[in-house]
Amino acid sequence: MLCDQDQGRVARAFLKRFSSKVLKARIPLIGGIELTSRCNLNCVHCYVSSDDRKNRKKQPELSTRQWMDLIDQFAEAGCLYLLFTGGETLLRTDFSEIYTHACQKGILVTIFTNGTLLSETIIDTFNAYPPHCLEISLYGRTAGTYEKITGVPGSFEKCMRGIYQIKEHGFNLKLKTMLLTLNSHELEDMQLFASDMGVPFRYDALISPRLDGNLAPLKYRVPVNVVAEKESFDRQKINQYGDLYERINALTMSEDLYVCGAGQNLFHVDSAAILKPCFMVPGIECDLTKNNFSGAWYSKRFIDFRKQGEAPQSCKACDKKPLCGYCPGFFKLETGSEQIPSVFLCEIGELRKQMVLNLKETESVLNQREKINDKR
Amino acid sequence: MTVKENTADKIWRASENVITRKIADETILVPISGNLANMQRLFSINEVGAAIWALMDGKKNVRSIKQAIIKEFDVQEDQLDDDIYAFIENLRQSALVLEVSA
Repeated sequence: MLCDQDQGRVARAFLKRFSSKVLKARIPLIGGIELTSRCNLNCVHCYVSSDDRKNRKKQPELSTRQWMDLIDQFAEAGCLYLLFTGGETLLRTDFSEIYTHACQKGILVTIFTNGTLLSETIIDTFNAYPPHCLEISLYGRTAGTYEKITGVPGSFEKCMRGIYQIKEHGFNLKLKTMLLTLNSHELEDMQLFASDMGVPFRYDALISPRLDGNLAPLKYRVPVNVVAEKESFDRQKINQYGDLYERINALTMSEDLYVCGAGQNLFHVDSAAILKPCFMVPGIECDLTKNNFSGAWYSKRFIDFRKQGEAPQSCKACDKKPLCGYCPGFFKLETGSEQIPSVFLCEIGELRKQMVLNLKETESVLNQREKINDKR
Repeated sequence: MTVKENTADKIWRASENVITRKIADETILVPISGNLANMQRLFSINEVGAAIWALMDGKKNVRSIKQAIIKEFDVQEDQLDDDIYAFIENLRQSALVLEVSA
């Protein structure tokens, strides 16, 4: 009668059944909300539009009540996982109120934060309602590197203090970084720091243009050969790519333009209450200050979004697609068209594929040697 | 002491730390506060379990809940006896229900 979703075969059977029903009914199970586009840091690679970055303080934001009403609508429609992001979400002085409201609706909240603004009030809130997950971005292992990226003196120390505070209280903490030319030399130190803390760590090298198409962040992209070199030392990443390559190749990969969960079970609402299938997807929008969430989500426009076209010709039969970070929204930002793939992603995909194939070769040689030794 | 060792006169109610969600016709129990170790976990309950859960309102005892379930579902009384006590015991161990003093 009762099934603990952390445990065992029954849980897996439930998850399989549940996922299938959620997919079929197109339930908006997972959402992301940008509580604010304001930020106390000024990161070089940030994807927030240039205008938004300049006018952050001037832009009107939703009131506490408006966010709570939206959260009620998300829960009513079946949202179970909600990401609070920004900007810097903890800049909202009503963060605790909005967050508590979401928790009390039975929504599992993940928070993306730079960790520099944790106050006693916020810690008290988390003690009362522990977050599903807290992900703190760590942009370097030294103040010099970190602050070269964030542009704010003193921010490294505040971030570190935040990390220790969260860890000390036992909340579910994860660390991550965007791999940039400015911090790639400290990647191993960041990994080691996380490992010493007993905290999961991930990094992402796929820097995109800003949402308004501004290409400024791209100059901080780490060259693909350096990314590949870093990843080649990362057994976990290679295994993950190997698994993806094998599993998705075994199936017939969809030739639809969008193959991710965007608009299927994922949604995004920006700080002006504009609903999108994902923050990266251009053009499909609905203003939730004027429209009901379910009405918008189940409107023809949003339902048909995934039928709007086919993948770019060169991506259709490409076996690197599970590895490259394929995203038509990303293409649009970088090349101006969802139909023109990013060369950067193509190159990353190729190098990852080579890593997977090489790993197979290496393991096959190792296996053969072991067999010969066994016979002897 | 386990639930089985208790009598059918016990009364239970859902913990205030748990929210019941109905998504895609599935009943899911979401712990929202309390034991940190529970925060990453979800619990799903089947149709009969969901009916029992809804009846655990802090007023009805286990005996009357059982009678209500027998009326509503095509279940054998003996089987239900075992299942209902095992179910409540699981809920209790996961701190999803609290006993109410009669």
